[in-house]
Amino acid sequence: MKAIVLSLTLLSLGTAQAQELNAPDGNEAPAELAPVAPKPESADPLNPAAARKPTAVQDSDPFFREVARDLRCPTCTGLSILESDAGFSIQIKDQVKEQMQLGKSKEEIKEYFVERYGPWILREPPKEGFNLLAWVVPIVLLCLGPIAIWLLVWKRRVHVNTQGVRSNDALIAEMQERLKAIKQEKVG
Amino acid sequence: MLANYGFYLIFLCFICSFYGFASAILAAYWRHRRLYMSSKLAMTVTFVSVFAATVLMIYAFYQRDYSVNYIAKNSSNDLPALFTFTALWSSLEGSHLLWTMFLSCVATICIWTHSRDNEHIMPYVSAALQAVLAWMFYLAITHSDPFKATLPAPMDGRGMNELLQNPYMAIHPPLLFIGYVTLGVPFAYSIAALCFGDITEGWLKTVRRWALISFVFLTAAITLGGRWAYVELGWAGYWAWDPVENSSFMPWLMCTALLHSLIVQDKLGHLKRLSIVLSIAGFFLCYFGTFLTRSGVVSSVHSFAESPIGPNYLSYLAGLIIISSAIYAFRAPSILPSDTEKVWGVSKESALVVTQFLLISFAAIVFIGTMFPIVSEAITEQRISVQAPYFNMFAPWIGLGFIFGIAIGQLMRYQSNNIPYAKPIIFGSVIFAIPLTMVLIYFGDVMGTRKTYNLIAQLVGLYLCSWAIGCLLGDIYVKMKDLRFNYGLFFKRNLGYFGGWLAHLGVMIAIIGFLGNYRGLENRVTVKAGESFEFFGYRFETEAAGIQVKQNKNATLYTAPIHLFRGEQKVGDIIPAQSRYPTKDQTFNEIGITGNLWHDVYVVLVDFDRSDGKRMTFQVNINPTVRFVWIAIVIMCIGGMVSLFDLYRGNKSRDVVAGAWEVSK
Repeated sequence: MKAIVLSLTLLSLGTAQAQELNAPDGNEAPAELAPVAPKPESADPLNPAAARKPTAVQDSDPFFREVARDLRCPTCTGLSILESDAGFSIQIKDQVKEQMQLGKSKEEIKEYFVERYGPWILREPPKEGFNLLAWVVPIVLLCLGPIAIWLLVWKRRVHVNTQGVRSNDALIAEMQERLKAIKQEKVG
Repeated sequence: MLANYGFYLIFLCFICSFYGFASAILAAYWRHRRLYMSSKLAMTVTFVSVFAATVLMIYAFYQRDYSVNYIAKNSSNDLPALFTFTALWSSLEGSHLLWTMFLSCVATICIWTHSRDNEHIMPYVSAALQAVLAWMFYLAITHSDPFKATLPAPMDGRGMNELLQNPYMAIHPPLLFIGYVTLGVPFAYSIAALCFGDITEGWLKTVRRWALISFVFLTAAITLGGRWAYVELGWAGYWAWDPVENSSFMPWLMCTALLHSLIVQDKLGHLKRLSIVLSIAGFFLCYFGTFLTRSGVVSSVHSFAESPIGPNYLSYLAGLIIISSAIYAFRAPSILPSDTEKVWGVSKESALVVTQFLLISFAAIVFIGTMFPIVSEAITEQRISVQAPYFNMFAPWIGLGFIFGIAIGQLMRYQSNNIPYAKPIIFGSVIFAIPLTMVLIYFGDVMGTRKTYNLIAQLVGLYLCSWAIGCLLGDIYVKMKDLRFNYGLFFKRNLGYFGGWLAHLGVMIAIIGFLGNYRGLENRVTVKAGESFEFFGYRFETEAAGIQVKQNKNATLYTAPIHLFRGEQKVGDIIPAQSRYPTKDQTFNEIGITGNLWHDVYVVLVDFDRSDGKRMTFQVNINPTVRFVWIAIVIMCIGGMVSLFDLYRGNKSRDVVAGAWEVSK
């Protein structure tokens, strides 16, 4: 139920964004450069892909796939827009294609979407501020873990002498010192 | 009407398990044998009643008794017999009931079949299990009551979730719950060992057995869940790192880590406290995952309070972790470090510690990734997503660690710095891996299906896996040679080793399979009926009749049969379809899959002409080495089961801890 409500709000959000997109905006390219989507005469029930295709960019375009893989499908769990055919994903995919037509780079397109939808639209947390923690902690864990194990397990190594007596480093050092003292006494 | 009795049965269960918990605690405190017997009987009554309640629920499902709210929500008149049965666990209340039933079943088995060695800690085991049960029954009679009534009863139910009407989804949840509840036994034994203040010989054997059972069930269940996603959702993958998947994966990692630490404990006497922590953590994570996925906290922190389940689960989890930690903090010093003369050295024990580290770090990374959106939203008020790219950043490195850990660790020997035949095996495998990698590259179509950026990772991964397989084969050869190829003796004495070997082989094959996720091809085509198209050397011929409408039980299928040819030779038929259920105005994908060992041809019917059905749009994916994963998981499960039949492992603890402690006292 909650998912439905969420998706509905998102969907309405999405259409609002789409309308905003059509409005003239300082950041947008001049009108003559912007791709003009031919208005379909009738909704083609067979192939919505043909009706909505605003640009010449194909779904199989490697650059498009690379960008689309990094944007999340807002209405599904765990999928990118590339893997999803949900209505909202299709909208975002079209927006990606439009942005590609404007000649933007991958980073610029991502930035465009972050501005519109917040960092939530990206599939991994941005590497800044508090979110940096999500990246640093695993790396630190993976790097320091072996050292910690080394110290905990290996440094506390127990020595066993030929008589089967257990001792540790501190004890051995102490014994050796005493031995030295005894030897010195004998010499002296 | 019958359902009213159901509620009373559950209520009886709650009272019984609460009584059982209290009496077990007192029995443990007073060392009162007959009071403990009464606690055991209370446990048994609990199991019998909850079993009866479950049967009653299933009966009500078949009666289509819509006066029960849960049945009205999850069933309908047109539901086929099989799914009427599985509808029991298609939603929260029912799956909770099933889980509770399994837990009381396992708990009853556990307290009646304990070994003589564990007799002194059994009251604590019983108390721990019944405390958990009492809470689950409390939830079942308050916030997740499966027998809640709606009167007057509607004429027809709202229908079972269409996505769950799939044979894989029918068996995935019960297997997962069995995996979860069998992890409850190591948990109870750990609490008992802490309370009693000692780990005894029988403890290890029992915990190992239940952890292995849990391992087998969790492995199978997680894979079936992935398989369900693969054949039902239509995005051509089986693992998306979404919170639901992660929350079933974390207990698996803990369980696997526990199995490895138990080996060290058996051989060396060390890591007793780690085993205890892992048992508790594994059991905790089962509930934690359920909390994450059922309370709605995953979609947003703020949706948490909407369902009463959330706060209840949270208080339970907090209670579980606080009480367990408190017991651990106060009692762990009584678990004495092993009084062994054995040292770590560069031996298998040390390799096992590295394995522990990898498994636990993996679990930590999955945990961080799953929890981070929630934490971040709570702290910075900004929503972020943590999805597959994040996990895929770390998982390959852990996988790399697994490859080396398994290849070298398997060759090492317990209590020995010497690896027998190290050079011939390790360097022989370097050579052996070359042809094997060639075969994998050729048949796995690495060149044909690669995506531009990660060819080197693919090649390195395949080569290292082949190398590790070479090492594993060398290891078992040496082992056999040491036994002078006396296979009878091998299978009699070394089933524990052999099971582990099989599971490790399975992991290697699985990694080869996972590498296929990072390549593959996809294409989207629109064709008229009767036309054909070519892709990846295959010719896909559609039928001239176009979309065919079929009735399959309750679903109407719109199928678009495709005949698959390679050259002139027919390879097979693929029947992608869309299905429509009478209960919902929406169509669902029914994916057509065919192919061979090396790649799957995965076809989704994306869209079709609704007026005459003569034009169709297909999404075609070539998914390399998916079947490797399924085969690998089967091998891993078999490995787990084989180890289960090792009668020697854990039976004779080499380090008699209890004795040593009592003597020194």
